[in-house]
Amino acid sequence: MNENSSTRPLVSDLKRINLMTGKGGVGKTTLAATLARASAAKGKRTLLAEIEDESGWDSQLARGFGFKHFGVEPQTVLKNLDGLRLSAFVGQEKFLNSFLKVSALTRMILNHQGVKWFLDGAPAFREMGHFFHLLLQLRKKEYETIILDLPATGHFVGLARLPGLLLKMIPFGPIAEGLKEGQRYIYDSDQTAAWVITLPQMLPVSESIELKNALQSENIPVAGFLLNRVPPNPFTEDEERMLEELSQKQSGEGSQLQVDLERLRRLHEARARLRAEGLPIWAAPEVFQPLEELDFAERVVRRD
Amino acid sequence: MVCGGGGVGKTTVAASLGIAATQFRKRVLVVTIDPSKRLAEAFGFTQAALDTGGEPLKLSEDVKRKLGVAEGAELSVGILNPKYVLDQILDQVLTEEQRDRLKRTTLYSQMSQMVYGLQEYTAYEWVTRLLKEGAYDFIVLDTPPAAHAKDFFNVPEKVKHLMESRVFQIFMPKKKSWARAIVGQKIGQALSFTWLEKLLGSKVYNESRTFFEVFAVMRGRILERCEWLARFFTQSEVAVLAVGTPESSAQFELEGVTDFLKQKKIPLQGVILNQVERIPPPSEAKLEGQGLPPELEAKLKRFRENQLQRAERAFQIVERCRRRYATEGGADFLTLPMSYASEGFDILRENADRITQA
Repeated sequence: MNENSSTRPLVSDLKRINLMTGKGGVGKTTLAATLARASAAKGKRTLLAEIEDESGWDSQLARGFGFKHFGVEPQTVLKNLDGLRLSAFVGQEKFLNSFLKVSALTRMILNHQGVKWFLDGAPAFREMGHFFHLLLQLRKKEYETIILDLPATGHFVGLARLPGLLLKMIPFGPIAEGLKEGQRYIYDSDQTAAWVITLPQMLPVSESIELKNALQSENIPVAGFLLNRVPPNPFTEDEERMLEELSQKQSGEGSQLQVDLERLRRLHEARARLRAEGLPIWAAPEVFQPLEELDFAERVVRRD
Repeated sequence: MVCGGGGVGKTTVAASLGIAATQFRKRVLVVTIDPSKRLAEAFGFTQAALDTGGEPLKLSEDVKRKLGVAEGAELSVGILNPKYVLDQILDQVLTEEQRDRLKRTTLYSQMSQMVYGLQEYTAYEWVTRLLKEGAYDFIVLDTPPAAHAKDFFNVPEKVKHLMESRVFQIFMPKKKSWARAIVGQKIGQALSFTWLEKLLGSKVYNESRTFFEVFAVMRGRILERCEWLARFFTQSEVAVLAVGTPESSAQFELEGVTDFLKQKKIPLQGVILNQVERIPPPSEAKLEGQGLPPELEAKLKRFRENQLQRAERAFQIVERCRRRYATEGGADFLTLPMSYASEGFDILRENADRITQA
């Protein structure tokens, strides 16, 4: 149970590459930041990355560390922890560079306004840039832990599908090689773990199961569910049963005891439904502060 | 227009608003994007209807009764299918030859997902058409999920920006051919594009070229539509409602969207705080004399205190929002409770009743 502090913290089960996925509003960003801090605190060289926000608003993730945005080159944000913003343009440029070997030529091509517009506007090229920017970090063995805070559900499944789709169009050549190399990292369950973040409520649980299935059908190794905002439950099973009986004796519709028990019932139901999917579950306690005010020491994600 | 961050129950609120509206209007439409399975089921949609979805569907009498739709009123639900809308636009704008060429490309099937802002743009196109057809006298638009709630309002500008990119001019049909376009440009460009083609391979390169050529044809229409949309939000027939919850990241999103609206001078009609925990009256907190073992009673007391703290924290946030948006901002303000109902119907009906009363 979540109260039992002897269960394993998730940070010891992180893989080298960790993809934080889930529907909007489930706490992906907070958990990505929490785990990155925990990993760095264990002395592991850790990279916390997010995909650039095309509309240019401040990054909530970076704000949690006192920045407006992370840089497009890894920047130190804490001891052992670097932050990175994956940028389409930087990914395209660096990739082209690694292929052409002559950076003056790359610069000439990419700085050509027409080509810039082309790469910015053509479908899938942005995503390809993000993918290659990430790939360059995966290649380097500099980081023991990489945590990627991904955009909300729909988009990520698209992103996961991208390499396969592009490979159909570009079966040979340096881009194809790059895509295949990226796939080798991402599909390898020894190196990569996708974590599906969800809440102990009916709808988010259904959506997270759908997401898990979609990811698995794209060959992405899903390592487990992270059940976020788990309320404290101090009761033993017997005690809960006793309280249930008491609540049935009390007549008043919607009494406080019923409300109390309802939250616990939903928690049990969420756990049971997630367990039926056959993947491990990890629990993170409920917190109320915004990211920049969180006490991270109190917030350990543990095996449920 | 109902907007808000992820996970705040925006779609449920939009649907409830549509049900409530049937008390006052006879032909109501709720337009939503990517609804949960449960909500679609509550409306009586089958998976097949969802997969092939195009035009809005009228709810059956049975479903209407369960949802508490007013007697004699009609409620329709439209689930946006970006590809369906895009196909319709293409049919209007392109010649058969252009259309076929575009539809043959591998990228086409993924286009609405891959081109930034296109999904939102199709939502606008669809709603605009439905408005013009005049079949409804009240429309609730549930805005698409985005990284940020305010992104939706920025779409006309973003799409306009993309369409104004000079890359389209390179591919404009008046240049007649790609080769001639190159001749007219600098040698550097020709060289750069040759390299690009080499790097990408001719298939993807040609597909992308087709994409730009086709969009160059549509450019005029899209730009005109974007101008119109930029004014759309400020019309008197349009009301913008922002939905949030007392949870901290949802508050961050709510502040983001309301600040953005203010900055763009788009009026905010109302704020709805959803999933608000109820604060129990003190009489319910009493447990003495229930015959519980003292140890359990102590545990329950601590548990209750934690619950009470949650509810009080939510209450403070609600009051802060009420001050900010209603008292100072002059917007309508409504809270909807955390729902414990497990049936989709019940949640929608309960919320609709509260909205009607408000």
